[in-house]
Amino acid sequence: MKTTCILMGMPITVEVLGSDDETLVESVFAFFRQVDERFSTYKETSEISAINAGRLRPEDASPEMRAIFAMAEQTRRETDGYFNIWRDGRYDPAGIVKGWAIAAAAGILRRAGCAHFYVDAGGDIEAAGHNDEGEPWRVGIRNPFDIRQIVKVLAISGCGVATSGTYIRGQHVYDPHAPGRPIKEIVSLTVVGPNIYEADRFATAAFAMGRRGILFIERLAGFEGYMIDAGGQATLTTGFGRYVLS
Amino acid sequence: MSQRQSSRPSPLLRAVKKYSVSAFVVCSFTAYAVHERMLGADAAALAAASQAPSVAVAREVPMPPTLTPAPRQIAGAAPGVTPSPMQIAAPRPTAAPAMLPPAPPTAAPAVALGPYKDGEYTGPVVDAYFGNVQVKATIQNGQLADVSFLDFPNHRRTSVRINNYAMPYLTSEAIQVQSARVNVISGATLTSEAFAESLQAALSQARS
Repeated sequence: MKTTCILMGMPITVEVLGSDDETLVESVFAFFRQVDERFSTYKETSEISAINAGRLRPEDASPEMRAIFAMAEQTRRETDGYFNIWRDGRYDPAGIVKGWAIAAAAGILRRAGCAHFYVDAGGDIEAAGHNDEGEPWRVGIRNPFDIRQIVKVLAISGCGVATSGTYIRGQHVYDPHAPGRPIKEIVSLTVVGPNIYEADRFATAAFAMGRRGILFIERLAGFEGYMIDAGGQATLTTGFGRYVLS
Repeated sequence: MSQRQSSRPSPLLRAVKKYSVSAFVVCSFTAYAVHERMLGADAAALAAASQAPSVAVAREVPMPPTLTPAPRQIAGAAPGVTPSPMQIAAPRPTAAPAMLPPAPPTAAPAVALGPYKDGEYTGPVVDAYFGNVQVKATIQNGQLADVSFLDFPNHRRTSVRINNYAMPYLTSEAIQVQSARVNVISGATLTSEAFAESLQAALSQARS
């Protein structure tokens, strides 16, 4: 059973094999809705909006909010400050909430006894077990230069896959320290990790590191990465090949 | 005596010789240093990376203490509820790889959506963190026929440090379009969020 909802401004898809339990899948979407109500910076009524408006102090916030803040702070320290939910004078925890919510949704399915499923929220994926052909889930990496294409096919089971990036259609990013000299900056960084929470937060941070990001992923035990630069050249971490189908 | 003296270089000549030997030594050293630096750039990049902070990876995703799935809600059961999510019951993945944008949910049973009206609809500019995203949706015969970007991130506000190192010797390849079918696609998160948001807004114009 495969179901897609547009929630949190993005398509969220849940596919579960061997189950037609609509109420279970609906409870997963209800969970995402609950997360959105609390953490969306687009909703005036959300708890995060109350914090940003100064109506609520972070230390007085709900346990869920404080847990997210703690995870964000831990990630900030682990990534040399490249991950930071504090921007432009306000908190935006989306970078940590999304991966965490997908992982938690996968937890709901696991606790209900589901062994073969994936949860995909806006291109960040947690996949468990196998697909309907009894093989690992086939996860494509989208072409950052043409969103209708894929440039890599991975076999994923029991891991999280997250991609950070931007579509720049061939424009060059310029090094402000050397104007006039085009550099091939990165446009897409895919990270495979032990779960989507870990993969997503490190993909976000490593992307902000620029070219150095793939080295950061290379150093992380249990993580592999696939980086695409603005010239269409990809760089793979040492063990990435074990996930590659084509 | 005079012969010996004449074979000896003059003091001026000796000074010139001394300075040219010194200059040669200095130049050789400099050239060697530059050469080593160029060769060592890869190693330096790796060394720089190895200075990155160490990370403890949690095997278990930390869970907020009280978060449990909310009581079940059936989408569309409460017609008055504000923007009810579109519910799309999609068939099993077939041969074609999934593509963005998703097919318009014309067959959605939970939320009745009228057929789209033909025309071009422009979504709002949405902040995608790395830049703005704006899409235009083209509807033909009541179906979403094309989506094009009017605005997309071409700069990165968060662009922090740009190093001058050559890339270390990890595996490298030119990307190639794959035709194999897939179950699901991983893509740029932040932009696709904004993409979906802008597209959704454009489609809602087409419905009205």
